[in-house]
Amino acid sequence: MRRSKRIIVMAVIILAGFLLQYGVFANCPLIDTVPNILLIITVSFGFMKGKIQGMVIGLFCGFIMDIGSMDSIGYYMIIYILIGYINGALHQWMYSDYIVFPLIVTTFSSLLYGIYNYVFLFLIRNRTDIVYYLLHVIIPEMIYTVILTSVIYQLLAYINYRLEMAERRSATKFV
Amino acid sequence: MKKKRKASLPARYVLFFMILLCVILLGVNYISPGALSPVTEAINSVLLPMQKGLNHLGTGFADTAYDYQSLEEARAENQQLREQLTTLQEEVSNYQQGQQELEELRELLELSGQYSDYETTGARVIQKDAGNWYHSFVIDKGSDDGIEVDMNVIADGGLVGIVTSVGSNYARVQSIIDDDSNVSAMSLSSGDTCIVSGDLTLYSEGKLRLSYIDKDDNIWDDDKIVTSNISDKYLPNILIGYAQDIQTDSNNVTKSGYLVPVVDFEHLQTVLVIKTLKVTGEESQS
Repeated sequence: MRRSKRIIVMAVIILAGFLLQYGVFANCPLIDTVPNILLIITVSFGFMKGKIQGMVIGLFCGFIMDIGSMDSIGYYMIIYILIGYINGALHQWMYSDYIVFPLIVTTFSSLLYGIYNYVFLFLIRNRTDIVYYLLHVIIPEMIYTVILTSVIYQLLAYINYRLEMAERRSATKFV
Repeated sequence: MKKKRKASLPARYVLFFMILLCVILLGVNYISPGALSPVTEAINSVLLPMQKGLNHLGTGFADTAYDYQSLEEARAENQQLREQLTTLQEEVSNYQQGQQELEELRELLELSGQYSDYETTGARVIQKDAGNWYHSFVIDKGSDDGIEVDMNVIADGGLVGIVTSVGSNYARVQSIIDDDSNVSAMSLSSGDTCIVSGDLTLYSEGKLRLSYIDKDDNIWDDDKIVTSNISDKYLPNILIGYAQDIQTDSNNVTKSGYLVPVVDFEHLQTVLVIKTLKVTGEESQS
């Protein structure tokens, strides 16, 4: 089954991303701001594979975030699904060897994610000082995330390329 | 390019249904909190051991780097601490005398039970929050070790936070520096009450907000702030920190200021969970 291979690889990638984000970065005392690796995974696959896959990956990334944060399930799922969808819509502008465009979409996705969190965690409790949150939380997280994207996107693009090659091979084999 | 699979449903409908699913999940959680916790617990029981391993790796690296760097500082500090020690020893002997006297007086007042030491259990921090909005963490003890929701958590002789959810072998602790945290507190010397609340905008300065102090109350700078006895979740008289910059508010009715916590939240690795729950007024009266 060629789809099962992709499913297993994706599950491993999401799990690895989660462990990297929660296990390594969050606990390393030298790093103040935790880069959002699960966001990078969602953005990258949405961008590379289109809306539906972006949403499915977003669903699972959001789900594992909800599990990790042990709060209500569904909160992070919404924003990750949305980000997967939006980046999937940008799929038509993908050129495989351009790194600049993924960086731009990650920047905006991270910004969107930050604003979503600000609105539903802080603004809702009458914390109106958006400039502070923008400068001290949203933008630092965005910068870290974008820097890591330049590395992780290349890796994910390579994995995706290998998967597509394998899928194509098995497709021609059976025809 | 490979020919795309014909999707039976346009993507925007899929999006709609997925979001709907999330909203339903959130609704379920809102109506009956804890209905989905078996799912969370089952998955966490698989994920947390992995994180625990990685945590050792991460802190290991940082610790070695930190160790070398801080050796110099430690030497200087050692010298300084030795000097402090002598003065403190003197103070301790004074206190011991006072303590003895206090106990005798308490026995007279039959108050001894109220302030006896709480039963505590040590726990290790195994996961900190990976988002940059929260300040909560997970410890490696759960309901199997007798941990319950609303138990107080302390470290370094000060209040750290409160247990908000419990699994069989882990528990989540919301620290008092979390933006969503409010603790009913009082000044140790005067007994006047106030509210200690976490604030993300103050976090980088290592402070908390101190508010709802009556204008005429006796809370001044450098006062010891402890948890109040009217709080319904926090046990009384746990040290939180010291008051700072107390000023009268513009409404001229209340005062507010900042609180410097005694706990070093940056380098929290082990904590103590107090296994006594606060007995609320209604129960004790009945």
